[in-house]
Amino acid sequence: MTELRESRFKSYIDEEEFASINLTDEQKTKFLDGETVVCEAQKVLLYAPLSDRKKATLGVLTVTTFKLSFASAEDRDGDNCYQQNFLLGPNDACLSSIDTIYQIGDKSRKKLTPGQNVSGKIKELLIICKNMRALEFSFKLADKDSGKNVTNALLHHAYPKRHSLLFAYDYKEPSVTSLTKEVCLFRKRENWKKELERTKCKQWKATVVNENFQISPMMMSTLIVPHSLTDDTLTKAVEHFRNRCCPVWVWGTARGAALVRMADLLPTIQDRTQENTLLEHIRKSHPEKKQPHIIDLTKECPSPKEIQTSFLKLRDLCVPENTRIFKSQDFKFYGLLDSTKWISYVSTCLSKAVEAVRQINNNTTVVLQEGNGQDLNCVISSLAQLMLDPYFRTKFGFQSLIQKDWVAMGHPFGHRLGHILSKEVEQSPIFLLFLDCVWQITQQYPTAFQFSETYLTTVWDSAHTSIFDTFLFNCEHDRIIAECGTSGHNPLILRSVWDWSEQFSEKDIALFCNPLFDDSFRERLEPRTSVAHLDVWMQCYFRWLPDLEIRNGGKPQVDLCNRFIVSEIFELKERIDSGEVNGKSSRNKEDISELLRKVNSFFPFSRNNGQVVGTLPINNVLLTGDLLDSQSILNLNND
Amino acid sequence: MIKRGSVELLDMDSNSYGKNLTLDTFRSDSKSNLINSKQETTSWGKTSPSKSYCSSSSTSTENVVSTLERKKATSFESNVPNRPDDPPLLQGEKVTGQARDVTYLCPYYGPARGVLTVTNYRLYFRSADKDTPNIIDVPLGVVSRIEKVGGASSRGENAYGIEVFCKDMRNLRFAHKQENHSRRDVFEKLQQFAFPLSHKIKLFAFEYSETFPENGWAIYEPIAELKRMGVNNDMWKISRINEQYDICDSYPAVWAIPAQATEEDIKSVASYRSRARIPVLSWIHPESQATITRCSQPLVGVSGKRCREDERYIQLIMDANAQSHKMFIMDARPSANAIANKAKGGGYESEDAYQNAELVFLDIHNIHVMRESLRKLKELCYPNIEETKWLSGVESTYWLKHIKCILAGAVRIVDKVENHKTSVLVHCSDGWDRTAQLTALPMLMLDPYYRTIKGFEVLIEKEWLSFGHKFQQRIGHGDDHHSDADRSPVFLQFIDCVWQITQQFPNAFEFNDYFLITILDHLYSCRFGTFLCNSERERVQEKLKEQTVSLWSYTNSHLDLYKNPLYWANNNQQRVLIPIASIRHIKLWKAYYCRWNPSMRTQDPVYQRIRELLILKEQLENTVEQCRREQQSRMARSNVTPA
Repeated sequence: MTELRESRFKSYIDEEEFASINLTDEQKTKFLDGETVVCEAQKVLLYAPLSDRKKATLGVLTVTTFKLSFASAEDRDGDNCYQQNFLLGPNDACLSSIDTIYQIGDKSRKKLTPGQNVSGKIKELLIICKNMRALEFSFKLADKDSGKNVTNALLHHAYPKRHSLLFAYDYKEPSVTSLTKEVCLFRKRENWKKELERTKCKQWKATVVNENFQISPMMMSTLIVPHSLTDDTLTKAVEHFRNRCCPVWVWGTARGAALVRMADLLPTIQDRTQENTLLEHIRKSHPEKKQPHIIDLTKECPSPKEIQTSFLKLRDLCVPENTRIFKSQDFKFYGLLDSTKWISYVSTCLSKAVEAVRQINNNTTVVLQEGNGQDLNCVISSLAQLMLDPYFRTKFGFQSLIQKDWVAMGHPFGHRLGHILSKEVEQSPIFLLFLDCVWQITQQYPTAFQFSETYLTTVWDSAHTSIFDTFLFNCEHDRIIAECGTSGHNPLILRSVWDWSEQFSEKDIALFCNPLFDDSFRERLEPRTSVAHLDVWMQCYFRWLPDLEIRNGGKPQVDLCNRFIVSEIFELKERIDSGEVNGKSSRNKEDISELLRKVNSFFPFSRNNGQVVGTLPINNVLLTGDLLDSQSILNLNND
Repeated sequence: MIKRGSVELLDMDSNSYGKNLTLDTFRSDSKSNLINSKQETTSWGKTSPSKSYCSSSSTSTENVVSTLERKKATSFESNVPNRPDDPPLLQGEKVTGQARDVTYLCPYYGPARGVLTVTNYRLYFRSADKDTPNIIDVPLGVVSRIEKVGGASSRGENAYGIEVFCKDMRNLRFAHKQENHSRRDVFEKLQQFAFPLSHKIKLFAFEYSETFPENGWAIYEPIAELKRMGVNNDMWKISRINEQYDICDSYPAVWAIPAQATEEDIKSVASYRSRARIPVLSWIHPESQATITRCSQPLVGVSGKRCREDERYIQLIMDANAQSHKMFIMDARPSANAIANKAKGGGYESEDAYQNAELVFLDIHNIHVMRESLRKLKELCYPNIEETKWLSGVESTYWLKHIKCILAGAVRIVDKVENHKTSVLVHCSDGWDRTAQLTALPMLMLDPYYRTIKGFEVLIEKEWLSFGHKFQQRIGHGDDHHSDADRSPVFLQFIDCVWQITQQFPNAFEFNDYFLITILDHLYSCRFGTFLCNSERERVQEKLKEQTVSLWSYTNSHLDLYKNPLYWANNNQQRVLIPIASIRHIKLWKAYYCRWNPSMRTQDPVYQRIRELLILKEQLENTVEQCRREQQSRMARSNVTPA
């Protein structure tokens, strides 16, 4: 049988003794300003994914206040065309991205409780990250107690109990933002007024009644409300809503239909008068005094808890424990996928958004209503706007949309992404569900979006990097408090995740653009929403499994060709405009062919390009039938 | 006409072009009017084109429309012959029956009243709606079963009529009025022309007389193909021992065998292999000389019979590859099936008898399992899909699991040949179903030639047609035994596997998926002679090359339709493709299996956009060239007449 042969991974299984590891400066773990080392272990093995612990890399494992880092002498990143992060090395994980830590025994694995102290020996450790990456380390060659020390360091530092313990508060690097004004953060009153003007939606106004978060700390300081609504009425009504989330405008059309979102009434409130009063004001804000269409998302969409359950099942399919499970999952993959319900949740969200889009297109105001008003409301509201408004499909527009409907409107990122360990907190990847929905639309409308699938995946990765404030807080109020600083901690330096040059080089940022984008395409999108039309987001979910990566194949091949064609077109246009029509194109077809030969299907994420010499890697696991199957022979006699 | 056809095909709405792209620019892209039969080009179809009701140029559009079953029939207007209800006719096609006031019970748009026409080639229905008539255009070869619905006592609207079950994943229901007795005639004509062989009528392919500039029958020359692979050489020779098909009647006249093998060897081996299908060469590695050979199962039987000549012959195949002292025998079947075959005189090679050979079972199920799987798939996909159970529904058909097994088997063969430089012998029971899949797919992965349009045609001609995949039996052309146990979608599975590979390697193939769909449509249509009969011998007897048109004449006469716009980038890409045989990658080919459902009809907007961009690029290049020439001539002028 063939071995999975990759030069990156050597077999250390039989070797007993090692000299100490010599790392070049390039290979050594790099630290940020303000980052301190908690614990370091030499001679740690990092197992290759799904190698059944037969392939590993030897290196130094470091736990700092910011990350878990693995540095190996075998990392040769010199000529790498794959995504490189300035803040994290190829084998690093931000502590905030760590979801579960397992102690691996001979026969079983044990989930470790955050905050606990292990006292026994730790031989192997499995770390599962929120972005579906799994890192498995062995300490069998390391010094005594290294495993235990690393484990305890992680159990304490990866799960902070207070927000101010996050690394963002310690990061000293001054913020030199290169963020352009084109990204609208929706922190200021002007942003909201401008949005109101941009959409030309009349009969709505910005009120300052919540300027100091006095009527609702969970909402932003500027609220767009019906023109006829007085601050008094609003102040009184807000009491009746869960989370004090009263109906507010987020988007509208020149014809008068608006998109409004609000929370459910408090369960203790029987009398719906206050709600009805506000809805009546909303009706009056419509030029034709049309009755608004209310979509009850609590009833019609999955709850945050259901989404989390579904995500964990999906993760089981993406992070298989061993090759045996990987293989048996593969044979019943579609059934298992069905039972995660993830795709059907994506389908539900898309179809609710389409419902809203159709109503608004019909010039009816839509009111989204949901529990606390800050989970599924964000998903459906932003999806609907993406379908209705071509601006939001541009790079800056999309960032502004997330700022408006998620960050400013107070999606509790701190809780949902599990930045803080707390019993009351319900973790749920609602934001990922949204990104998945967006990805599905981009698949159906590949020319409508300025950004690429790689961009969406990178946004999800960055949501777990505890340096950027964007996805760190539960609401704007908390952000302002942190920014001011209190007795307990230093003032937080705000760093926007949209400042991509903090993390990536220009070359990587270029891959965030969609080469097929057609800016003349401004139509309303109405994606097909049934499960049969949806796909699994392979890049985001499966990129950590090298066994699934198609060598020299997959979408990047198409994508890179498109980039090449588009760049040629640009160059031709420039030459025509400048009149310099002599001479040859500077773009060489050889270059693109060369690149295509290096690139595999999870580009720019996986690093399977580790120069394969000689034989093509062939994965045996997937090539043989499962035992049960060959025994259950159908129609044996007819063969 | 062809140009418009191509625009139709690509679903390129003229409105969807970018600012700089107009429909005309696309048209000018088509080099010439390729299939205008009035052209004075050499014609390779039949020598005496018969007269027909309509101009021949209509046929291209017809095919495009019938293939995609476009609801809008606007493209017909110019070629509709006498009356608007009549179908556009191919050369050699005649109307044989017509019924008015028939209702097509469309599962998507509801009942539509119109005229149903039966020709010797197709069933054609056109609803009476003036603006957007509902048109059903089905070649009768596609029909597997026709049933009357309702009797004289039927009550209720649309309860009395005909139901037509098709091989291409759809069923059609028509309701007739009882009082005008239109059903009887239509039913009779449908029966006759859908199942001509059961009614002593010739298949339509023998009536069809259109001529094309390209001759598809010439695409595959066995000797030329063997020469392309470097045979004859020291180790392999071309043999004509089967010229009269008397060694093996399901094999071709020409094949390649180890140079050392004698005529006596061949005869002895033939007597030991099921249906005399001896191991012969499918493909040879240009560098390592490792080979893929194919055959049928050995006749081992319960007594464990051996054959020295066969053992020696296998050794010759192994020795022909100096790089390895081992070889693999890939038995496509699950081991239990292989064992069970011993009871019927068949079996598999014992490793005791075949020293140095390793036997591997690939666990691919038989034709009956595959037929049942496709039946379930049809149930799932037609007419409507049940959304809530879609994913588990797909799984319960096992269709993708079978596809995975076939792909995995093919990858294992590629691994042995490419990475281990070891020769592989492939067989199943008779060596004409799973074996054909398992030689053709590895060849496609190993040899970029087969990924071109013409190379792919050669691959089908060679591994499927010449080596005797029983198309006639598996498809049941013109035969009314719809429940015949010999029918099975083996070739469809192969095309599905090819599609899966094209999905994983989107720029490695010269053709697009419309090419694959066209092949499948004409697998059933009986318009071309290509897929008729069970073996080369039968094809020669039936004089198919003289009496029918090849599908490849048709496809190669308008290649533009089938070209993958991304193929250019793949010029010097790696030779070998290794697809990932994981169900996580394998998808249901909705554009084929679900294409009748308008809500599932998927177009590929990525390819559409790429085409637009490529056209724009070409335009810009032309502009640059033009400017350059102008500049040059201006310079030249100023040089001649200095100021």
